[in-house]
Parts: sequence; structure tokens; C-alpha cells
Amino acid sequence: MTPRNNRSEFWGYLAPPLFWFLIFLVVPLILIVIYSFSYKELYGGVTPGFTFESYSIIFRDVYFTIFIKSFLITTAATILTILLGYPVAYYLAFSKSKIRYLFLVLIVLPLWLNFLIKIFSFITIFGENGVLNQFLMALSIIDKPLPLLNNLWSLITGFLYINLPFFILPVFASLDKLDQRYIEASLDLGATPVQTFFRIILPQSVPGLMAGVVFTFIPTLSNFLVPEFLGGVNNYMLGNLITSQFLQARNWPFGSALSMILIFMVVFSVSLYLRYYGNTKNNMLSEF
Amino acid sequence: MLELNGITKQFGKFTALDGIDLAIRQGEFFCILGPSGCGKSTLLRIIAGFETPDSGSVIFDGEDISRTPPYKRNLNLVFQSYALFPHLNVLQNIEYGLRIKKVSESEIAERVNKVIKSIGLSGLEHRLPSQLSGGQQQRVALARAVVNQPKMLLLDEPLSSLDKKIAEQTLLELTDLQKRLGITFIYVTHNQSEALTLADRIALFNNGRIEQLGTPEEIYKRPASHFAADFIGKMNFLPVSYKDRVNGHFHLKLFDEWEILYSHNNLTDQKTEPLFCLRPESLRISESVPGNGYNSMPGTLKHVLYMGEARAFEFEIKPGYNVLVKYQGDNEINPLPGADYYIIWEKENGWIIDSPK
Ligand SMILES: Nc1ncnc2c1ncn2[C@@H]1O[C@H](COP(=O)(O)OP(=O)(O)OP(=O)(O)O)[C@@H](O)[C@H]1O
Ligand SMILES: [Mg+2]
Repeated sequence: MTPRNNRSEFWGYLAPPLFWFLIFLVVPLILIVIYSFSYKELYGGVTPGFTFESYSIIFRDVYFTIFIKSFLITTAATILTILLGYPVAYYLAFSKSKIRYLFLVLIVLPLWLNFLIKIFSFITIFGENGVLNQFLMALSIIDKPLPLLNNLWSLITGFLYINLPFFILPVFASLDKLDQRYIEASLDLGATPVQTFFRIILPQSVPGLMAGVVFTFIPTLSNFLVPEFLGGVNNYMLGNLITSQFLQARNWPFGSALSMILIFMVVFSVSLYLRYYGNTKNNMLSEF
Repeated sequence: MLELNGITKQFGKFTALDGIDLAIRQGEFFCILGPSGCGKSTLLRIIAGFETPDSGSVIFDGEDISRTPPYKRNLNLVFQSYALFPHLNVLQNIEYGLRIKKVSESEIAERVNKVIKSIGLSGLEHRLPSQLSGGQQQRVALARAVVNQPKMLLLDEPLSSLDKKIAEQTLLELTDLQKRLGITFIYVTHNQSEALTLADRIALFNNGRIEQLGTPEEIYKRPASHFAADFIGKMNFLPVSYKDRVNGHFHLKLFDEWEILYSHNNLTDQKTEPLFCLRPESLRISESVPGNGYNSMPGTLKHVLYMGEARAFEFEIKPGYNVLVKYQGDNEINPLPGADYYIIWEKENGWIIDSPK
């Protein structure tokens, strides 16, 4: 095979994905950049021009509150994800029991479910006439349904439910390949199991932990389905704000500006991750 | 200082250790020697506390520590694979044990500096383990253990991944260190020359049992079994039969043909099927029958093997029975291949063992 032939074959294989990439990623991205600096039109669409107006709207009270609140909710959800997910990953990595593989499968399983199905199953369980309330009422533990949906609690629980597998897997992977002998060496040098955890195990699982945070923080911040279905009217988040700018409020430039900020944060945090862990062999993003 | 009483350990149906009894003395350089898979590491892991014995007890300084967790034992293990913490630099690795024990900053600095100097790690303090050579990593592993001034240091084949030259040098440094610090060493190896050079005493392991326990000289000169004789150094094995006993000497016959004298008294219990052992370097070549005090047998020279610092001569005694004779350095003799000679030895030099079952 001649090199020329080889090269044309190379581009031949690459053309469809490149085309796909161009049409569905690069072009929309460029459009968003352009839109975010344009003037809005009354019924959607944009008038070409150059203005920072859309960016400045973000600082208006209503929107800025949403912005901050989204951050707080996302941070809370992420912290809870870490607190709940880390022990599970730890158990999966270090348990000698054979059941752990079953648990691992059970954790991976929801990843194959459609997002909406997950949300509706959540509603089925926690809704006013949901499984849980009916069960508790049947046992006469309560006499009227608990308000388990459409509040902060259900919003954050919903995020946990969605996020945990994405967090547990990279952390599990980094703990699983931690050499048992480091732990033994630490114990041998007089460190208690707790000291060994904080000085040896935790530091070495930081790349996995960070990957898990990247995998959960960003999608949570931009998520609009979970707040929509589980968060109720009071817990409007950044994702909802963006969707509503495009679908209801018809302020495409503002929606685009919000998207730009979100995209910027994604790029920023991923590049931060790659900068610190990108060239180590513990880099988790390269494995998923 | 350390007593092991009837230590047994099974992995499933496999018996890794089968009733180990040992008493190790204060300040001793004790070697555990044996082929791969004989249970050496398992025994160290039991002493260090990473495995619990199925039965038996570990007594350390008069205290039963069989069930004590590893972090409460006043001894340190140098791992077969070093196990340096990859996220900590050389200094942090070495300090680890002292920081855990909350030793004061000034004392940490002092002890760490001393160890770094004496083990030759100056200038490498701020490197990560991944930026060190095998020999350097090995020394960091050693420093990390020694700096804690443990009563006992367990070393699991610490030189196995070093090349010969560095290994030999480190070996000498190790004995030196041990004598200077007065720490009791238990040193595991499957390398017999390491064990013979270093040890005050050796326990020779085979299949989870102690085959022989003794000083290097005892083990080398008076092996207790065919395994011990065969595992350590080169050994010639010859069939022998008992004749009678005159004036405290045994009269034996090699190959039912050549009468020899034997003066060790390990024959009193009438070995059932004895084997006569001769070290190649205890044999000499002669053109005539030797005088009193020597034994001899005739043989035909087959090959001369040049080995640099020594020469070995391979004789055929009977078809299928070859005997190796080894001379150190250059010397006067130049026997001719194909010619017949007498192989002679001082009568103290033979040793009789039981045939393997
Ligand atoms: N955790 C374990 N589970 C099952 N078998 C084991 C385990 N640890 C050791 N063994 C077995 O016990 C035997 C002794 O192992 P050990 O590691 O003590 O050998 P060793 O003498 O140190 O050998 P080497 O010189 O190769 O290091 C081996 O046959 C090994 O396969
Ligand atoms: Mg071993």
C-alpha cells in the first residue's frame, strides 16, 4: 500500500465523524458565540450586532440569585455525592467478599437507563401517591402523605441518584489499582488504619475523586430535567433558565450568553483537571 | 528476643507453613533461606502482623504478639518490592514513621539526616520514588525502616531486583549497618551465597518446614539432609556402604569397592541407605595413592572447566557417576583429559547423609 493511498484511506475513515463533529458541535458553538453578542429579536431569533448586554443581564438580581442558588445546590449535591459515594467505592475496592461484583453491576446498571425513566421511577417511589407514602400509610406510621417531591430535598436526592454511579466508578477504579503493599507499609511504620486512610489511601485516590467531581458537578449545574421534575417551582436552576430563554422567553442572546458561561466553566475545570492529573498514570478521564 | 512456636499457616488446602519453631537472639543476623514458594515471605508477614497464623504463637520480647495489629509491633519490614509511597518524596517517605509517632521536628530532622548520610541518599531528598533507580529505591526503603530504630528489622529479599555489583556492595553496607545499630535482622533470601556471607545463623526452609538450622559453616559442612546438601553450594554424592568400626573410625566402602575411613560420629545410628557427600573444593588430584590421613578413589579425567577465579575438573568414577574437583586460582597441576588419577581428600572432609526418600 502506498503512503498516498494510506493517507486517502485515513481521511476516508475520518470524514464522517469530522463532518458530524463540524455540523453538530463546531457550528452550534460558533452560533452560540455570535448569538451571545447579538441583539435579541422580539419573537426569538437574533439581530446581528455586537453588544455585551446579554452578559450584563446576568447580574440582575433575579438571574444572579438563580445563578448563585444553582451553584449552592450543585455544591451541596456534589459534597453529598462524595460523602456517600466514596465509602461505597472504598468498599467495592477493598472488600474481599464476592458479592462486591454484584454491587458493582447494580451500580453500573442505572447508567444504561434512559434519564427520563430514572426520573419517573423516582417520582413513582416518592410521589404523593407513591410507593413509599402508600407503604407508610398502610402501616399507619403516617396518616397523610409526606411531601417528598418538589422541594430541595427531592431535588438533591434526585441529583444523588443520577450522579452516584458516575462518581463511584472513577473513584473505585483509582482505589482498586492502589497497591495493597502501600497500605501494609503504612501500617508497618506505625500508622493506624485511620491515619493510613488519610495519608496514603485518600491522597492516592485524589485523581479518581477529581474525575468523579468533574463527571458530576458540571452535568448537575447544567441539568434542567431534574429541577423541572423533582425540584418544584422554588428550585429553578441555571439549566432551566437557559432552556426557558430559548423556548419560552425567546431571548436567544441571553440564553447563549448563559451557555457561554457554562461552557467556559466546563473547559476551565476539565483543563484544570488535565493540568494536574492529565499526565499521571492515574488520570481517570483517559479511562472513561 | 523473637520466638516462634509451632507456626502453621494454610491457604485453602495448601499448607504454606507447617509447624515452624524458631528462637532468634538479640542482635543476631538471622537468614531464612529456601527455594521460591517455600513460605519465607509468609513467615515474615506473620511476624510483621499482616497474616495471622492458623496455630502457634509469635513471642516478641516475652510478649505474645500473635494477634497484635502490625502498627503496634515494634519492628519494621523492608518489602520485597520496596512499596515506597509514590505520592511522597524521598524525605517524606523516610520521615513517615517518625511523623506518625509524633516525634519532635528537631529530632526528626536529626535522625533523618543521619540516616540519609549513612545510607548514601544525600541529594535525592526531593525526588519522587518514580525518579529513582532500583538501587536508590532499595536504599530509601531501608532508610524508611531503619530511621524508626526498631528492635527488629525484617528484610524480604531486598537485593533480589538489583544487579550483582550493586547487590554485593549493598550487602556489605547492610552487615555494616546491622553491626553499628545493633538491630536484630531477619533476612529472607533464596540466594545461598548471600545467606552464607551475611548470616550469624541460617534456617533452611523447604516446603513450609525448617530443613536445617545452624551457622553457615554447619550448614555448609554438615548438611542434615539431601535437600540441604544439594541446595547449598556444589556437592558430589556417592553411594557408600558400612563395613566396621576400628578405634573410633568407621570403615566404609565407596561403590562397594574402595575402602575409606570416616571419622564423624553421625554414623552411630546406622543410616539405612547412606550417601557420601564431598565438596568439590575439598578434593585434590594425585598421581599416586596418598599417605595416612587421606582417603582416595581412582577416576578418569573427562573435562576441565575454566571458571576465571577457579578451575573445575570433572572425573568419571564409574559410568554415570561423575565427581567434580575444584581448585582455586592458578596452580601447578595440569592433569590431562583422558588420563587416570587418584582423587584424594582428608578424611575429616567427607560427610554422610541419608538418601532422599
Ligand atoms: N494469600 C495467599 N493465598 C494463597 N496462597 C498463597 C498466599 N500467599 C502465599 N501463598 C502460597 O504460599 C506459598 C509460599 O508463599 P511465599 O510467598 O511465602 O513464598 P516465598 O518463599 O516467599 O517465595 P519467593 O522466594 O518466590 O518469594 C506459595 O506456594 C504461595 O503460592
Ligand atoms: Mg517471597
